Amino acid sequence: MPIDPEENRRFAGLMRQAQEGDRFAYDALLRDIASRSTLFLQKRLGSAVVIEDLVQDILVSIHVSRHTYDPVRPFFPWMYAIVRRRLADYWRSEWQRLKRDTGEPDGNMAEAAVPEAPLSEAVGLAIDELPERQRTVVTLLKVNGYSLKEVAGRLNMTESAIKVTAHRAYSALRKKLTAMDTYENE
Amino acid sequence: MKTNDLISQLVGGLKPVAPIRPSAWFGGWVAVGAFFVVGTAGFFGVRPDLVVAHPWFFIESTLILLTSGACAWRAVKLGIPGSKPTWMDRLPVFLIALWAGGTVVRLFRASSLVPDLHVVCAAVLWGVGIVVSIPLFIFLRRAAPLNTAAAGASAGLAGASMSALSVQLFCVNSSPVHDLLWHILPFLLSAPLGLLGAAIWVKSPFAKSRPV
Repeated sequence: MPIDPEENRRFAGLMRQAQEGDRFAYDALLRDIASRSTLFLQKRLGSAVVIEDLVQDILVSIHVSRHTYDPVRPFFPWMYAIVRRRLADYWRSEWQRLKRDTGEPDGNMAEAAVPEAPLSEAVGLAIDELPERQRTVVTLLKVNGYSLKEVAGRLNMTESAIKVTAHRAYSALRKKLTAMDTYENE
Repeated sequence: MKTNDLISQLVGGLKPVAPIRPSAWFGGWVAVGAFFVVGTAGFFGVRPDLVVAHPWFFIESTLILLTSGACAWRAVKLGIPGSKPTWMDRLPVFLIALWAGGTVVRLFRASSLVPDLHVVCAAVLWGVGIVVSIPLFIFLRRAAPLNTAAAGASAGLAGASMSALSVQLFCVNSSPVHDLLWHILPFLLSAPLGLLGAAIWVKSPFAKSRPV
């Protein structure tokens, strides 16, 4: 993807200001990143819902790792490394889901239909191992089906804090479940 | 939740952050490493035949020192998303191949291939190596490595090679069998150890910037 040096300087400047705590610059930066990420993902994905979810994941990742951007370096390689990583995570989770849904290529259908219970048990075990706050957030969001706003109200946290906590919990769950998957396949 | 709402909330919760400085961390690690090399060699006593040692000893020591620096730099670089790939990324493999390859070549000229039992070298190499690699793991935990496995392995190798240099300075046994068994093999095993350390420490859900 060609990089416009002028644009790169502008983004780098906004991030430098954001690192210093400038909210106006940060607002402009996140909106620009969101539109650039959307364009990037639209070329690779079809679903608008998935794209919006991924863009939000990207924004949270950028927010949490903003201290790792070195202002003397070009901005876009840093940003797109994170964007690509989130996209790769999405493809990985889709692949895992597809494997779960269809079973092993040479397995029979009866066996393929069974994993529901062990998977739920594995997910339950993995959730139990999460730190308390992450466990509470995931349980309220995914088990009890509360909205972000409701969970934020119940836990007296902001919605973005809930989103960040949930994001960390999903990363941890993904790691734990992948490890279980690998262990069971060995 | 709409993206615009998320942006507003992230902006609302913005706090100033100090950008992480990879070069400063690397410099700090070099200082820690130098301190432990000097300290370990001083504690065990520098080998008395250092001045009249075989030329390979000095070549090997230089290779170990360069390996250490290259691995540490690689680990630091892997901690920052989007770092541009350069020839420096392959330098650790090249240096390790030279170091191990040189020792294997020496095996063909060795008068005896009987291995000795000198666990102290491996124990010191791992013990000091773990301590020396701690600053790199702290850096990786604070940074955002996209390839945690490679970053952890590089950090493990960096610590182990720095401590291999200190072992080199006090160990009087220069036989290639000894070097392979008690210096190079433990050094190479520090890569999976570093990988494991990164899986536990850096990939922990408690780490500061885990979403990346």
